[in-house]
Amino acid sequence: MLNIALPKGRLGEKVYNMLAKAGYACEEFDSGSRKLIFTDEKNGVSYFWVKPSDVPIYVEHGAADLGVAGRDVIIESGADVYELLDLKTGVCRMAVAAKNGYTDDLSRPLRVATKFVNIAKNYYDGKNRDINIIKLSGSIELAPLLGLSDVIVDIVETGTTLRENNLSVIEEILPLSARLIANKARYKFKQAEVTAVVDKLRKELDND
Amino acid sequence: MTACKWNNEEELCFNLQKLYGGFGYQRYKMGKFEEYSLYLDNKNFLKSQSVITFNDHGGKLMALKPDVTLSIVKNAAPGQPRKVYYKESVYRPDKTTGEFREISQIGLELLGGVDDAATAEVLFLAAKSLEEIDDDYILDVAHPGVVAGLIEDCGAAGFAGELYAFVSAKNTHDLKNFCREKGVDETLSDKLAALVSCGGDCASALKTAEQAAGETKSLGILRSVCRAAEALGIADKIRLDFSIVGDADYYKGVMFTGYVGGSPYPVLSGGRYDKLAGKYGIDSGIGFALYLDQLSFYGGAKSGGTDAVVLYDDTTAPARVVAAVKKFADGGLTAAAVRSLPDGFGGKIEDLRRCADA
Repeated sequence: MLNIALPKGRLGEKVYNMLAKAGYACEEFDSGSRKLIFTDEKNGVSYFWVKPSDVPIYVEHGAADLGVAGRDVIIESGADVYELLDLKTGVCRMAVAAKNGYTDDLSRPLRVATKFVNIAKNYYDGKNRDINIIKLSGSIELAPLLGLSDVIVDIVETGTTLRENNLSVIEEILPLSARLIANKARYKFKQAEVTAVVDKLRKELDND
Repeated sequence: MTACKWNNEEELCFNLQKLYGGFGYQRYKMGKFEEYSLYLDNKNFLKSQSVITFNDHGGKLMALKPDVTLSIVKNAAPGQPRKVYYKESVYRPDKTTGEFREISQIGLELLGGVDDAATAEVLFLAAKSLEEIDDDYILDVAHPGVVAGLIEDCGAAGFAGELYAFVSAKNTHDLKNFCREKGVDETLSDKLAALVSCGGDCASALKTAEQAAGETKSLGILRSVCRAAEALGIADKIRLDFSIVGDADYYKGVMFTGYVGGSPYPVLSGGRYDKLAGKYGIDSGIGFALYLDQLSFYGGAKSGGTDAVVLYDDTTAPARVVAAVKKFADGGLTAAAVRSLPDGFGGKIEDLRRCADA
């Protein structure tokens, strides 16, 4: 039996459909239900919904053998897990954005508003740039508009929200997409089952 | 048929000390503190670089030990082979909260004159240590030299750190994309990806590794380890994994990581650290540590209760109470003398209260 943590929301539903097509359907699965765990003995799989940012934690601590999480969430959590497959969905990028026409003032620390503290810190550490991080939980785009920060580090998908708010991407940090992750210890004991899931999903991705 | 043997830390340590003692390892007891400079000089050897420090009476900067191996290596006399085992606490920050925790470890070190026989012995003892916890165990064995050779071939001097991060996460998709961006020959990145993804029993992993990396000295060492494991009857528990990477400034040779079926974390890690030993005038060193804190939750929660209770009141003669508890204990049960029955108690009851006699 493989326990798989799926992120609540559209991404989780999309990946479940990929898994179902690959032979890991769960008869009682219903994304609209309030039920949290769905098991299918016949296909040897048990799914559960968790908050997207919690998926790496469930996997790292072995509550789930496998999980699906965005690369941003994996890096930000610092979870020690295997990252087995790029699911090529939820494709976007982590970027630095600022008000149109912004120029960096190198004589003082840069004020960075973000949800992704670790990613922002590592990025600017790599550039040896002194920064002040302002941690926010949502509506990050508002920060430079109100003078709370100079720039933001955030996920950019189409760029529409940025454009509509007179903001633009000034630096790309890294490309993002959903990944299949595995607990390192569980991988050792269930290697054949895990490898089968990876191979079948890879085949599905190649056929798309 | 597999079985979890984990009962408690004391029983495990008793059995392991007997095991290590039988192979000529002597108990090594050390103090809780060490000069901070030892950790500053070897900071990349530590799992975390955060250390609790304080000044002693003479103004010397001291640290609560975050690691045992460094102290043993530093204090060993060069030129004399030394086999020691230890059970010590180390102090490291918790990954989530950053708060320091006392972590209990038991392990062994073999310093000087490490050859194939010594390597096989330590590997065997690591396997037997895991078997003392659970019959369902796996010992991952690696030689970082196999991957290091290919990474060197990629000409990755400026970006080896990024490649090693992809390797240890078995992240072949980002590894290949990254190599493409850096202009690395695709044949080489494909070979590296194949090596990282492969893993499993000795025969199949060696075959894949040979196809990917060619026959190298590192692979030859792993081949010899696999032969020894076969002869020692532990080959079915050994897996080769080329995604294990260690700091090249300290490790040279085989590395291993141990897992038991019920734990989501590695419970044992070790390897050959000739380069660290060399810094202290010793030609070679190998050892491993078993993380006892990772086993605290092993085998589910214990009830904390006893098998039996002896009920007594003021009218019961004290000697009768003690004798009743002893009777249970002599029969191999745990028992407690209590004045009233604990809620929901489902074990044996001996009632010595006056009302019970009536």
